[in-house]
Amino acid sequence: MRLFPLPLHLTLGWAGVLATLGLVGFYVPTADKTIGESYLIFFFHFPSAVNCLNLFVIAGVVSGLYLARSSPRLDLWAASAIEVGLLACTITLVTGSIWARAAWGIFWDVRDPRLMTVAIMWLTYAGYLALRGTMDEPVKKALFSGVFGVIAAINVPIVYFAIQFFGQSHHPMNVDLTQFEMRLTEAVGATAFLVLYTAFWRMRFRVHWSRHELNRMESAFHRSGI
Amino acid sequence: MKALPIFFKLLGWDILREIRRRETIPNMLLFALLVLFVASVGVDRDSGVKISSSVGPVFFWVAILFAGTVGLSQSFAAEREGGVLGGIVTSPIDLGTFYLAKVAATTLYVVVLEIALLFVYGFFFSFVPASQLGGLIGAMSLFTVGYMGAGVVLAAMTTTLRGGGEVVLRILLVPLMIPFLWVILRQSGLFFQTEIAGGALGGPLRQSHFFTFCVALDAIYLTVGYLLFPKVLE
Repeated sequence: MRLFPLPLHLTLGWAGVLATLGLVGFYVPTADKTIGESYLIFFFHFPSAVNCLNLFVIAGVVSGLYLARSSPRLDLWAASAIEVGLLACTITLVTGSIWARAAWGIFWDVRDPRLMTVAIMWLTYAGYLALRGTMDEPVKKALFSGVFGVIAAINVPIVYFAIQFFGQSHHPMNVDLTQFEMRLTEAVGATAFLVLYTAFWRMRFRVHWSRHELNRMESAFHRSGI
Repeated sequence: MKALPIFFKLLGWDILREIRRRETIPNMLLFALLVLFVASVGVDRDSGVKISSSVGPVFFWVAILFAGTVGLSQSFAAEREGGVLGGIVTSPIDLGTFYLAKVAATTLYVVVLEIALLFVYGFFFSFVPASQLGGLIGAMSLFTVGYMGAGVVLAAMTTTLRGGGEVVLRILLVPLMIPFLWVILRQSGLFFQTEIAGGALGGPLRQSHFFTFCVALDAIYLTVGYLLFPKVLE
């Protein structure tokens, strides 16, 4: 029997997020020279954005590997990465909108290439989940998801280079964290969210894998005619 | 077997089928016509020509985007009905060549639609971009190649889904095309000699910058499509 109800990596991730919250509340300076108090949300917004891009890149690579090797594990790792990436992307959009309201006075700016490309990426990966939902046959589901997972990864460089290419953005390329307290909080936040999203990714994979194994055993049971 | 004769054979077969059945282009045109008609009704004429010229190009490109999905969802209809797809997969034809022929055929249909739609646009919005026609047709062609490059792969996938997968095709394809469409819309300010949506999307890019972006996206979509299409048909 487990002494603690949560797995270790998940516990560490949540503890890190709580520590970040504590640092943001009591340790880090409350206002930045250039963007004022609203910069505090950066410590939650930035790690989610980075993890979302990382997870989508990983999903694209793993989808490509699935197409080469046809292992159901790879398909399920890719699908789990996209589910968790979509969660991170949603958090990025929500925290970004809150930050935009505080900094620019509006929740959304259609002229901003970074905002628009991230929203497009969210829609693309939501489409990936919709595609998976329309298919029951596991091999076909994995194959088509693999193909779309590779195509959808084209979004990641578009998001990354959006400001350089399209220009005219309110979105800062980077926030200049001048003080040690700020850099420490950023490091703790980045590590915490990395651990947390990795834990989510692993958990989602285990759920998918259990379901896959259950379906496989069920099919074998029916085939045997017992 | 040599790829080029097979490519032209497949392209010719697709065009011949379209000439005989006359399904794809008329349906796309009718759909685009409806979009432009509804849009022209929605534009407040009392506010003057400025508004209609500012948002008109947006409706023009949206009509092309959605009419293109109508064409794509029909592009594999004949193969599906006659069981031709199974024959092509088992034949010694290179499936990459089949993909390129399909992209070429659908691109041709959509470019025909776009040129026809320019006249319709002139009729509803009282403006034909005659002085920038070359640039506009070039931009339309580049957009359409990338659009069909990605669209043919997704259409081949979704055509096997429950209910033909037309809705899923749109859900998958439209977000992928928005960055492309966004750049095209910004550039349309030059072609239509107006400020698109009051400048909300930003100004036009440098011509060289614009064409590099379009060619790069076309190359990416065609390469990815060429590599993945045989997998889809498996």
